[in-house]
Amino acid sequence: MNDVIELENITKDYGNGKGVFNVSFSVKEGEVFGYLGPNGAGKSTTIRQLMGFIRPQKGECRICGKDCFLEASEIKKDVGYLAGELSFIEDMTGKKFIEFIAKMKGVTDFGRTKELLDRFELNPKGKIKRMSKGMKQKVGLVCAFMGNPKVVILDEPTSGLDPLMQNRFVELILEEKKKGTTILMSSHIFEEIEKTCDRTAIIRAGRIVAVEDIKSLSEKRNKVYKITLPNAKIAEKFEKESGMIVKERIGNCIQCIVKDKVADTLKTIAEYQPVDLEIKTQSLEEIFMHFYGEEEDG
Amino acid sequence: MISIPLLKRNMACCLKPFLIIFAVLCMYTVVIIYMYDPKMADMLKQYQNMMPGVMAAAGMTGVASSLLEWIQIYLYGFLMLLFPLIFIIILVQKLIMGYIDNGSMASLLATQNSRRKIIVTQALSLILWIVILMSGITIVGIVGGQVMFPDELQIKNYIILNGSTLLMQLLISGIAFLTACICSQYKNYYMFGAGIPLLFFLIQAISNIGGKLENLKYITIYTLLPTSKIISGEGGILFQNMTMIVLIVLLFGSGIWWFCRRDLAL
Repeated sequence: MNDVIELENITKDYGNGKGVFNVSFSVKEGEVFGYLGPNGAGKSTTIRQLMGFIRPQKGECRICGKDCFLEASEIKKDVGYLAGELSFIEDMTGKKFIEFIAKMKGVTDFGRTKELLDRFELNPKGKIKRMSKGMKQKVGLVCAFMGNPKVVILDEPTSGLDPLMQNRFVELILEEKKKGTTILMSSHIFEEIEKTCDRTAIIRAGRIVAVEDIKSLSEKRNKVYKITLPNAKIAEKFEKESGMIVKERIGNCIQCIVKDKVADTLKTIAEYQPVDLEIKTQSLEEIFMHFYGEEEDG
Repeated sequence: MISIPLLKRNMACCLKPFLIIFAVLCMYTVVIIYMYDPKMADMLKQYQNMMPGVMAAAGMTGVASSLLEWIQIYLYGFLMLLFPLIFIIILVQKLIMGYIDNGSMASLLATQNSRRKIIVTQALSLILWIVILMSGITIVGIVGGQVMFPDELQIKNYIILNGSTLLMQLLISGIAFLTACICSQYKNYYMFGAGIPLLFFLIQAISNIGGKLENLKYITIYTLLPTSKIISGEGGILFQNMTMIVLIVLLFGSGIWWFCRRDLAL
């Protein structure tokens, strides 16, 4: 399959270690691609270069083979975009704004727009100025997907959405994926990417640390078992004899890091008569720490 | 070349400030024409003799021997420069700076309209609004003059005066426009886009006082609008008008050029 979005060694240095450095990755046609990284890692800076808002100091980025800065307006015919920091024309009502953007995009078929409004249960009659973050996010999503673009670039698409709407969003992405839309979405939440994306790039402090298949990344991810045992003595015994990797022990509480082997682990734990058990998935930061070494922070 | 939906939006969003500024200027134009009275002119002449500095700083010098001179002295020295300046600062803020500062430019650029198309649309909207303002005032002045003092106003010279004033306003818009195309934040825009025209305005006011200070006129653009010379009908303002046109083209041209290649932190 063709690469629809290509980034080759793009660099934009804002000084003080801010910016992006030698960022390269590509997104194939019909692929849903995640762009993961903590806040301030350079996700939005990368996306702004894709959108042609800023020009890379070095390197090239292309969408559908066209230069993102020089041929920006050509590219936009096929691209839907949701900004990370939403800012609309505040004195318009949501409805007016959506209609305005439709006209600017030359979209005449309002069927899709209406369907998106229904999907997100958005009543865009009020002034944008008075809208909550979540409502603005919905307006942004409607604008990004109207006119059925071939490529969609979403910067932190679910921020401000409640869990129900986040699910609606996931459904929308999965439907688009079936239709063959190429999607690039940034996020700092692994689960969000995990549910929808095929592959993901991980960026940290402006540098790409990995481009991974979601499946293999999920497999690499450990679980943290937080076990509360009857007393400190048993906890000590557990630490010495259970054979599990104990991350920390405070009194009768133990935290273990476990990969796969759910059945065996549970059996082992059961032997020690636990009072409570909590299982959590490693956070994105913890994956970084684990797989890419505990490099210098920031 | 331009985006029609954006042009429509520009016309709608600037209507309110236009109506306010237009109403104020109409009021001044009508009131000043209404106040025209050769006797009153004598009295104001006495004021000028008593406190020449104050009156001159407000651009009010000379003796009004006709209605047009009266209008030129009391409107075109100060009011017809200041209020359009305020209008221009608001327009550029609404049409360009606001979109850049709050990031909503991203919504416009995320559509298939090129940067050039967007910024040219904004520049044209700006020019259009100023032309509408100046034409409106000219019509009000002519009608007001004809109603209150039939056949007193030299309409041709009045139109030439407003034509030159229009060029001056466009020149100032050019400065504000270029500044907005370069700046990323309001504060810088206000500092330069509004500050530079205001500075010229103050220099003009000081140089009006006369004496040695008169030499300051060589460093203010308002010298390109010699109102008393224009209404005398002597001609010879072609050079000033041509200079203004060249500067307008240069300022708008470089604004557009810069906007098309700059980084936008959206």
